[in-house]
Amino acid sequence: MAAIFRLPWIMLDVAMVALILVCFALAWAYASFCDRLLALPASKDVSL
Amino acid sequence: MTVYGWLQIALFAVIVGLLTRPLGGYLARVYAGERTWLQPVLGPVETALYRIAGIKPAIEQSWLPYTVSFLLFHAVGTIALYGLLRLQSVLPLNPQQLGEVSPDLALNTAVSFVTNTSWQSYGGETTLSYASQMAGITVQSFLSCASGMAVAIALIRGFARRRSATIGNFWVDLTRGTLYVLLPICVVAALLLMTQGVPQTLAPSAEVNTLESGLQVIARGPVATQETIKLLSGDGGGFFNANSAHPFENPTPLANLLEVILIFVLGAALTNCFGRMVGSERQGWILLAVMAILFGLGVAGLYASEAGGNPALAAISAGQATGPQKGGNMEGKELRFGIAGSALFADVSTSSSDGAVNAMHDSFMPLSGGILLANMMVDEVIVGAPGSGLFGMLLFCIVAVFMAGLMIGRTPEFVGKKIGASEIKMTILALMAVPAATLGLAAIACVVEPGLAGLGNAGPHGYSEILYAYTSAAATNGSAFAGLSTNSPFYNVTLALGMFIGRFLVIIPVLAVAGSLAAQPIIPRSSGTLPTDRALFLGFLLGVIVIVGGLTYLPALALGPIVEHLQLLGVTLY
Repeated sequence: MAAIFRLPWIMLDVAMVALILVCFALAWAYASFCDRLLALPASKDVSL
Repeated sequence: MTVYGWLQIALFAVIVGLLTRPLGGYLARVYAGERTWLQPVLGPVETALYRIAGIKPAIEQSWLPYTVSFLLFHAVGTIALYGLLRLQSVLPLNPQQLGEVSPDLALNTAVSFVTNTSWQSYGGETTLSYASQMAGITVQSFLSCASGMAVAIALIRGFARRRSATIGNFWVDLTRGTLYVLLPICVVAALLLMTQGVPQTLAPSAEVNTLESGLQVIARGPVATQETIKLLSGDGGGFFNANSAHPFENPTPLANLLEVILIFVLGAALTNCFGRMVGSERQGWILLAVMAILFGLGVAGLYASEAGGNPALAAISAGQATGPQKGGNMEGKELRFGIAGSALFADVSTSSSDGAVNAMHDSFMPLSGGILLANMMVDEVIVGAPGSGLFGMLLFCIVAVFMAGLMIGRTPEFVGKKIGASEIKMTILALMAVPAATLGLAAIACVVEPGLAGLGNAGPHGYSEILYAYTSAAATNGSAFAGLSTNSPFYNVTLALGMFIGRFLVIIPVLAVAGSLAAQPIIPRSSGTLPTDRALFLGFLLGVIVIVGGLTYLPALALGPIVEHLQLLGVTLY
């Protein structure tokens, strides 16, 4: 059996894929934040 | 410096200049959905792709759905490439029976190619199977380039449209860019490179007996097809570890010329495409002129610095500028390219965000290293990668008209669109992302043990190696300074983070600007309009780019290449 199918490697792979998904989820949230920022009147500010 | 060297550089500039207008017109037709001469061949393929993917090409998207499509597409691409790299040992097309790529390196490589960076913490021929090179690296080079061009086109539509809720359809822009622009050029260029000796084979590495009775393994593979998109896409990831310094990637001076043209041609043509789509070709030429001036300054500085050689050697009567050793600093350079060919390639590569190398940048003189860093630090606006160079330049245009408006009391406008608070907020968010990632991550690497463990040199040169790595990553350039061992969990993860920020946290606000501009009416020119298609604006834009870049990065450059250059004059080497 190839080494990649052993548990420690699988756990590392899960961690790396999770990291990728979290980064893209944050990017999505950032896009939503930009959308809110655009929707505001010019005189107002936005808070997170 | 020689006349022949300058002629090489001039020939390159003339060819790119001549190709700009016809290719720009072609790009404008492709992205407007108009019929092109490739329609009879590629039209049915395009229609079939839309049908299979369930895409309705007539339905356009507003900026947020366009952005979400962009993010989803690349999220799937990142995970797919990660999986491919991890599973390559059990997949076909692995004649050298290479093992799987480690998790942190697979993460770094997947993010690198999805973000159009091509940072490589590995040697291609000893790490990746043919399946990984072809179905992973090459495919992502096509797709990341096509998506970058799509973003630039969406921003152009923002300027060109009036009171529009939409900026195009991401899937259509991606498909048309890949089918009608990248694939045809790559087919022709791959054949041309093969005539120069670049291999294209699925046979395993060749084994030959040397004259000393030893056995030598000569790596080869499907190089030509990867090479062309590596250059055209602004990606830069080499099949071999030595990248375009390897004789199988870049065998002759003619191949070298073709490669630098491929790197620049789409980025230059997009300025003309911009001009046509906003109804002022002259505006496109102004943008290209700014890029050309910055490029000219860079290549002249590099050529002079490398031809001048190492002053420390002059002190011991072995100078490289004159005398029996004359010829300049040839350390780390290929004899078949010489100083001019290496300086041209290095400047094109770092200006364009391509990141391919035909000489080792770590062996360049300190001032040359500083120029290479500066090229990347101005946010890829000197032509840049296809798409990212243009939208980077347009962000600086927005800043320039805003500053000019503040200085002279005119309403900031650019190509008929009013630049308001929303556009400025988004522009600043986009422009701050790269410096924040570069300087923040480099500072961390300079003070933690895993960061310092990778250093190959001490003092300012070592610092330059770290700074270069994070600058290259966040600017999505991908070239390496060498000397820094980055295949470690620390560098693989932090550089991946830099590349992610440098790509996605720039593109998101760029698309927001596109959406905001598209919704506006087009304001007719009046006596209160600042003309942006004149030499005055060209000079102002140049100033803004240099000042913004200078203010942001000068302290960082002073600690690295500048202090190294000054110490070199005192014959202190690192």
